[in-house]
Amino acid sequence: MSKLEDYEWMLQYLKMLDSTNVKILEGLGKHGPRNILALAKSIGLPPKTVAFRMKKLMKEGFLQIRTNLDYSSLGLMKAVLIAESKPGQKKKLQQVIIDLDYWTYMTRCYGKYDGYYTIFAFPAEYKKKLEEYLDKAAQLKIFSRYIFYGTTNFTEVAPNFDWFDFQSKSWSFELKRWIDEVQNASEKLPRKLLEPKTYSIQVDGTDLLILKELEKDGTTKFTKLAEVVNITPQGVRYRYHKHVVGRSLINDYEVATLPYPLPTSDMCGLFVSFENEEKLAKFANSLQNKPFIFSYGKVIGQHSLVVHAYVPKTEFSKLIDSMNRLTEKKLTTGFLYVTFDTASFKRQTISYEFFKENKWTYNYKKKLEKLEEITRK
Amino acid sequence: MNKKITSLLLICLVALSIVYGWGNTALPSHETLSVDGVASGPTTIAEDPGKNARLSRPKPNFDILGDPVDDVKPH
Repeated sequence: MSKLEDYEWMLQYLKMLDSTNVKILEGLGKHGPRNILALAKSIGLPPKTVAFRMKKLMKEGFLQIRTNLDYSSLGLMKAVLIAESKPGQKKKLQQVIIDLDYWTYMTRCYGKYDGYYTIFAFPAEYKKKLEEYLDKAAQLKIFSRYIFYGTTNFTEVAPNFDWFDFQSKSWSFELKRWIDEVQNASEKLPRKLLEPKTYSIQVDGTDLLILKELEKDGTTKFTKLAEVVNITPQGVRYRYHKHVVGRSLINDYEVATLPYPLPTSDMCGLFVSFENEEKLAKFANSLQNKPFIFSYGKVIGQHSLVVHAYVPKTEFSKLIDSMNRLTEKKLTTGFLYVTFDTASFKRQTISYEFFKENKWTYNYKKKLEKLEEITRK
Repeated sequence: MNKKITSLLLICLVALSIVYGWGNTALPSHETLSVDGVASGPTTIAEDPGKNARLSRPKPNFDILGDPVDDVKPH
C-alpha cells in the first residue's frame, strides 16, 4: 500500500471516530469480541447497535481483533531478544534468528542496538538450550552483542481516546501529566505482571489449533474454526468453553488498529528498570490507559519492564525526554530503547507445528549444525 | 436447425471463455503473500515483508501452515 493510500485510509478512519465507535473500540480492548451482551452492557449501548457497528467497522476495514494468549498455560515462555551484528552481517543475523523457530515477532531495529528485535513464545523447558544457542551465535561472531530476557505475557493496552479531540480530530500528548500520574499511581503490581509459577501444558493439539486461529482473528466463528480444526462446530464450542475459557487460556485482546498513521509515527521497544517492585508497579499502572502504549511485560526475575510504544514522530523526542525526567525523579533507574523499522516486520502465530504427542519439540543439535553452516557461508 | 446449434455452441464458447478468464485472474494481493518453506517446517515468513508495512486492515486468515499475521504491532 502506498503512503497516499495510508493517508486516505487514515482520513476515513478519523471520520469514523465518533463517540459511539470509540466506546466500542475501547470496550473491545477490555472485554473482547465474543460476548456482545457483556460488551454492550459495559459501555452502555444497546447490543444491536454494538453488533451492527462492529460488523460495519470490520467490513470497512477499521477493525480487527486478535487474541493474546496466556502462553505460560501452553508451556511457552515469552522472551525478547535484541541482537546486533557487525556491518555486512545483517542477513546472517536475520537467518540465524529465523532458524531458531518459536518467534512470534521480529523487526529490524536501530538505536543503541543496530540489528533485530525479536519476541519469542518459546517452550519454557528449552530456555537453557535457547540461551546456549545465543551464546554460540555470539562466539561465532554472528552477534556482536545481544540482550535476552524471559518475560511474563505481554499485557495489551486497550485503545484509549482520552487524549483525542473529537472536534478537531487531533491528538494532544499530555506527557507532563503522565509523569505526575506515574508518581501518584498505585504501588500494587497488576495481576497480569505476576511471574508464572509453572509452565505446565494445559492444552492438546486440537486446542492449540483453535488458539492459533483465535490469535489471528478473535472473532472467528465456531463453524469456521471447525473447518480448520476438522472437528464438529459442537466440538469446537465445547473445547472453547471448557478448555479455552475454563482454563483461562486467553490473557486479553488486541484491537489491531493504529491511532495515527504509520508513515509519520515511530514505534519502539523500551527496557525500563526500577529500584523495586513498587516503583515498577507505579509505572505499569500508569500505562493502562495511554494511547501511546501498545503492550508491556515484566522481565522475569528482575525489576524491569519491556514496553512497546507508538507515537507520532513529532512526539518521539518528547517521549524520550519524559523517560529521562522519570529517571531524574528516581521513578525509574534507567532505560534503553530501540526504534523499529516497521517496513521489515514479520509476525506469526505460535509455532503449533512443533507440538507433537502433547509435547513441544526442539531439535537443538540440528539447530547448532545449521548455525555453523550459516557461519561458514 | 443448424443455425440454432451454431448459436448455442457460440454461447457456450463465450461462457467458457469468461469462466476461463476469471479462473486465471491474478489473485488479490493478500492471497499472493505466500510463505517460504511451508511444507518443510514452521520457519514461515511473509515473502515480501515490505508488503506487510501497512495499517492494520482486515484480511482473510492465511489458511496455511506457519500462519503469518499481517499486523505491525509487536506481539
